[in-house]
Amino acid sequence: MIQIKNLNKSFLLYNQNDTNINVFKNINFRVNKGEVVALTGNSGTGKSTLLKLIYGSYVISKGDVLISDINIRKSSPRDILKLRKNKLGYVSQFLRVVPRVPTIDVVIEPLLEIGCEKKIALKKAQEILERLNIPKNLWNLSPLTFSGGEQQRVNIARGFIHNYPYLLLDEPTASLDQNNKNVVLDLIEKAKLNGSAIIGIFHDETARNKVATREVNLENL
Amino acid sequence: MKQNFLFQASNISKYYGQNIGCKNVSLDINPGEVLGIVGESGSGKSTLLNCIYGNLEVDEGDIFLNDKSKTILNFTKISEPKLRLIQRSDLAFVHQNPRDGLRMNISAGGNIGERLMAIGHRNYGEIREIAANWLEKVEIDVSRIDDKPSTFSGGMQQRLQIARNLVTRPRLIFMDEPTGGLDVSVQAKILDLLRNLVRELGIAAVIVTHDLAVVRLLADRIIVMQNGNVIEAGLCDQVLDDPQHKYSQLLVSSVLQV
Repeated sequence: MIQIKNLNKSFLLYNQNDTNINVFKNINFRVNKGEVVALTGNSGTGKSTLLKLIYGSYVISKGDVLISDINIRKSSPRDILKLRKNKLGYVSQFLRVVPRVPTIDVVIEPLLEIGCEKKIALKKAQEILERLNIPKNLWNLSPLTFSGGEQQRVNIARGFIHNYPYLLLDEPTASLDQNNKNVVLDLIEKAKLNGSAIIGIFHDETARNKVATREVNLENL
Repeated sequence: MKQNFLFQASNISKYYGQNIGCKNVSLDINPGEVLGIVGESGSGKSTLLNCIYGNLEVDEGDIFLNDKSKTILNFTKISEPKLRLIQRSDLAFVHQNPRDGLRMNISAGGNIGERLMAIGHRNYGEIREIAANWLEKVEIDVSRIDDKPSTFSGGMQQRLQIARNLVTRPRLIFMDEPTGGLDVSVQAKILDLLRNLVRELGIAAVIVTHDLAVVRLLADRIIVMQNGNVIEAGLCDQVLDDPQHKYSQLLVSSVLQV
C-alpha cells in the first residue's frame, strides 16, 4: 500500500530572488494493492512532482509518504536505494543511460541489481523487448540513438522487467502509436492483476480510462 | 560503529597554513557503494580524497577501514609501511592524469604485473596471463602488452591505469576526475567500464568530479563541497534534482543542457 498523508511541497529558489513556489498542500490519498490511481489536473499542478516525492528524488516539505511500512521522509539514502532496487519502480519520460551501452544491457540492469543470473535476465529482456516491438537488430545498439517512442519503450521495458510491487508511471504511453500503447496498457493491467500498487500520469484519456481504477485530481485537493 | 561498513572517515580536517583544505568532513561507505564528491575547483574535493586515502596527513579526524580480515584499522594510528600495504591491497587510487598513476618507462604488461608482484605474485607466466586478461577487460589490444604507455593515447592510458589499480582486487577505489581531460567518446567507454567493474566485482568507489552528468550515472550518493566544507549530502538524484542548499542550487543550475 502507498499512503500519502498531508503532503506539502514547495521549492525555495535561492538564486532566483529567493522565490518560493508552493506546488501543493495537504495531499491525502492511498493506493491499495491491485489498484491503478491516475493523477489528473492541468500542467503545473504537481503530478510529476508528486511521483518524484514518492520516489525520493524530491525532498518532502511537510507530511509523509508511506510505502508499506517505510516512511520515505525518514528513510536514509541507503534505505531508499534498497527500496528502489527491490520494490519501487519508476518509469520516467526521459531515458538516462551511459552512452554507448547496448539496449539489452540497459534493460537487464534492474535484474542484475537484485542478483538475478545474467542468462535468465537476458531471456526476460528479450521477451519484453519483443513484446514492445523493439526490432531485434536494435538490441545491441545504444538506445540514445533511438526515436522518442523507442526510447520510451526501453524505459518501459526496464520498469516492467522486474515485478515491482509499487510502480510509478510518468506518461508511459505519451509518444507511442496505438499498437504499442495497447502493449503498455496490457503490461500495466498485468502488473495490476499481480497485485502491484500503481500511480500513474496519463494525459491520454482513453488510456487512462482503460487501466485506472480511480482518479486523484490534484486541483481539487 | 556499524558492523558491515567498509570505510569511515570522521571529522576530517586539513589545513594549509591559514587556509582550509577541508573541514570537519565525515563520510562512510558500505561494500559496493559508489559515493560522488562534487564541487567547483578549489572546493577541497581532491584534498579530501587524498586525506582519506592516506596520501595526505590529516590535522584532525579519524579514518577507519574494515579490512579483508574484518579488522578495523585506524589510518592515523597504523605504521607507514602498513598503510602503504593497505593502499596497494584493499585500496586503489586512480589519478586524473594517467601519467601520475602509471610507470611510463615500463611496458603495459609490466604496469599491471608490478602491482601483482607487490602483493606476492612470483610466477612470471601467470602474471603475464593475468595482465593480458586485464588488458582485454579494459579493451586494450593484447598485442600492445609489451609497449610502453607513452605510446598509448590518453584514453588508453586511463584504461591501463584502471587495470593496474583493479588487478589486485581492491575493495575500495578512489578516483580523482577519472574521465576529466578525456574525449567524450572515451569518457562513455570508461564510465561503462567502471560501472560494470563496480557491479561485477562488488568494488566500492569514491569519485571526485566536477562533472554532474558523470556522478548522476555512477554514484549512489553524493556530497557537495564548497570552501572545504560539506554543504549538502544525500541520495544522488535528490541532491541533483532538488538541491536544498543555495550553492548546490547554483551548481546544478549552471550545467549546460545537451
